[in-house]
Amino acid sequence: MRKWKSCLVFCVLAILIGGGVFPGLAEGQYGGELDFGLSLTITTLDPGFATGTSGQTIRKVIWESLVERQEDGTIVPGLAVDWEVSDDGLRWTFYLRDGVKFHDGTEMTAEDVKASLDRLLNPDLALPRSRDLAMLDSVEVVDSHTVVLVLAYPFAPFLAHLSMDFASIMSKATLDEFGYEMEQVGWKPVGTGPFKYHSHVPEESIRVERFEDYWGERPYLDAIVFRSIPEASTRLALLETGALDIVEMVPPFDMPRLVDDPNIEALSLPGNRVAHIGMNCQKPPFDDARVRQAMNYAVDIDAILEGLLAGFAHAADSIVASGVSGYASVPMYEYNSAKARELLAAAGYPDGVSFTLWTPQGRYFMDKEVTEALQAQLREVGLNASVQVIDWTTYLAILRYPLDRTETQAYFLGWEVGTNHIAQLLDMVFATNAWPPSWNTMFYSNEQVDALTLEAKQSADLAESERLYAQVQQMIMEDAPWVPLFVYDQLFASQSGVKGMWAWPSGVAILRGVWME
Amino acid sequence: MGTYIVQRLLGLGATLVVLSMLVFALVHMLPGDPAQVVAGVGARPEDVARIRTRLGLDQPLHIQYAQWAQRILRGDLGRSAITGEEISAMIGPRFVNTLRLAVAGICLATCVGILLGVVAAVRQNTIIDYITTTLAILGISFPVFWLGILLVIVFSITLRWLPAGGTGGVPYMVLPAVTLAANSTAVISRMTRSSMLEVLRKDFIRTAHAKGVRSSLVILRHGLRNAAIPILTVIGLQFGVLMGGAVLTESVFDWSGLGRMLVDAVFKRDFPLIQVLMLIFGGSFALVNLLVDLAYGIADPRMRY
Repeated sequence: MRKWKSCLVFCVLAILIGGGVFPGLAEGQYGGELDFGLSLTITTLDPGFATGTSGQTIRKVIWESLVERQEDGTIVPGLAVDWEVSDDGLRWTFYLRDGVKFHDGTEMTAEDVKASLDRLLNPDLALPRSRDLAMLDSVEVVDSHTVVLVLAYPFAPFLAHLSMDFASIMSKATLDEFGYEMEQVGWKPVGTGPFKYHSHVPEESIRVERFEDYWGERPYLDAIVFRSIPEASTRLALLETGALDIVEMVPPFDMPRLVDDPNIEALSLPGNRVAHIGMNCQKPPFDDARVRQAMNYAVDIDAILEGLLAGFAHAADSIVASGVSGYASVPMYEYNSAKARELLAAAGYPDGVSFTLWTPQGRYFMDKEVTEALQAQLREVGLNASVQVIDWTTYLAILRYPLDRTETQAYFLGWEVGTNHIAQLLDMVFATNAWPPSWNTMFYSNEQVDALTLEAKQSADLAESERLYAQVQQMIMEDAPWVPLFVYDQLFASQSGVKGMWAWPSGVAILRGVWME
Repeated sequence: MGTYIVQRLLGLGATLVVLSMLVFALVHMLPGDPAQVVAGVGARPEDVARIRTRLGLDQPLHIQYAQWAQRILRGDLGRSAITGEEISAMIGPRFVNTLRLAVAGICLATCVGILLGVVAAVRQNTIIDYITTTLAILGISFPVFWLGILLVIVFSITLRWLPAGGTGGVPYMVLPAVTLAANSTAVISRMTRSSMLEVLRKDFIRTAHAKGVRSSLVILRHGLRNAAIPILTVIGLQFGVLMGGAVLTESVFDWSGLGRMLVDAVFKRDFPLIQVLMLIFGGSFALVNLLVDLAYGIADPRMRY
């Protein structure tokens, strides 16, 4: 009798403890259709083209990459279960997963990997995002489930780049049948992901449905409908009336109201977009580093965070956000208007200086409003900015006029780091060889920074590269081509029954594990 | 009448040709082009250049225009420079949606506007006149955006009577149609009022009253019918405005129409799409005006062609 009782107690305890130790088992409910409110219209699903993080959100449920990235940035196996790097850092061998099916029914092999990556790098197709795999030289098929990616030069953050949607693995069979161009791939996407493309209404909505033969854990949802609703107030109204289940890009000022609403769950997740003022380092007045530093000292960022961003952003203390690999805190410029005036006078502007400050409107939260607030702050120390509001397409075009044509003096912009690794930003924005018409719109040049960046990218020693990146950030902050302002939090809102969503700091929502109660 | 219509249609064709050339020239003067938009933020200049070549943007302007014109005359609307999709597939449903909303808006505006205008004219300088005048001023002054959001807050979020947005049947059309109609109602009512006032002063009205004709008949048959010409003109113009200018309403209510598409296309420099949309808007406007001119004939037999 005693034995039975203690056995029973033991079993009950085991069940209780087991349930607590393995939460997540049998948590979610299967079924349902999710309506996701996007803030942009999706011009194409083709991963070779940049359509903002909204496009990446959709691509990440349709396609998968060789490796995947978790919330904290750790790289985990995706379509590859294991990998090796050669000693010289140039040959990366990937061992592919068995039994993975594409949405078109074919099975994934190394040939598909080769076709997908070759496509991205094909110069005839001119796919813009090929730049982010520029380090990849060629792809070799060893056998059906082994593939070697050969790099042109050692590149330590390679896996972070491979986890991105532009390195999605597509079905060679479908590419061969329908074509390799954007017009075909964009609207006939065939991937290995938990959801397959069903249909779309141009510029309005895209529908994906659960893929029955998915190799991994079965997703809870039956379908997801992505609706493009650029107007933020409309997006929220549709959420509040139940027409949408999740929305992205919630305006900060609406967050307190949503937090109070019992039917809505407001999510604030870490972001990595750094809002900043960029300055043209080759033309007066910002060709003098002292003037650029004066700008940094003249800005009272806390006032702006309080007054305009409702606390849903935090001050930036480097050119990248704190979650980004390679980040180092370089807090250099406390708000100090006396120091700012001093520097200006030393640079030869004791009575102040005038310049234009460009800003877009509505591209980033409060972009125009922040710029106008900054104008007031800067004016107090003699930095007399005249603010010009410019539409986004024009903005991008004029920022990239080459040196002989540029009219840039100072501008407001926000850069996020898609791969979550600082190397991407350094290469794209701070490198000497990235002057307009490429993206170093500050015309910044520091050869030491270039050299150290190269060294850091090639170093396989993590601690060493961290040290080098920290040095680079120190040097850039001293040179001050930017006034880093703040890092946007990512603000999502959902019906309170929607669970299981998380996001990359760059703004890509990961929806594969979402369920609805 | 047949010759007249044919003449007008030829004129319409000529107008559209000139319009397409003007739009082509203006849009190409803006900084930026679809290649830059397609290439996106972070693209290398070489990639932008290659996309530009694929889209045919590096050819001289007049060649580009000629190629486009040839395609259009063959009935080929072309593909969007940004998404690569067939333009004919993109605009079909949206054209119908814009038309539906514009028709609903103009019907609402006409009914309410004429009613208010007639009442104000007949009861000139009374409290009713002042109320309708105030309503008209409010209708013209309310920013469309603000009115739309206000209606959503009241009727969708608070009362839950109507959907907050989206495209669909009657329930989805109510709020956007009201928002759209607000401005037009005001304009139509003011024109009705002033036109009626002018007519009601005329001698033949006094004769009709003196003959003992019923008051309502005098106002409607003799008064309104004679006052109709300017009112019809305004209705026609307003319909043109509603067809093309509904972009704010479409944005607030997430209504899938052409207005929003055109603004988006301009921002993205989607040249082929802009050209086609401008032809549609220009053509609709001209057709509506033709119909208004023909409608004059119904109101006033002297103006039949």
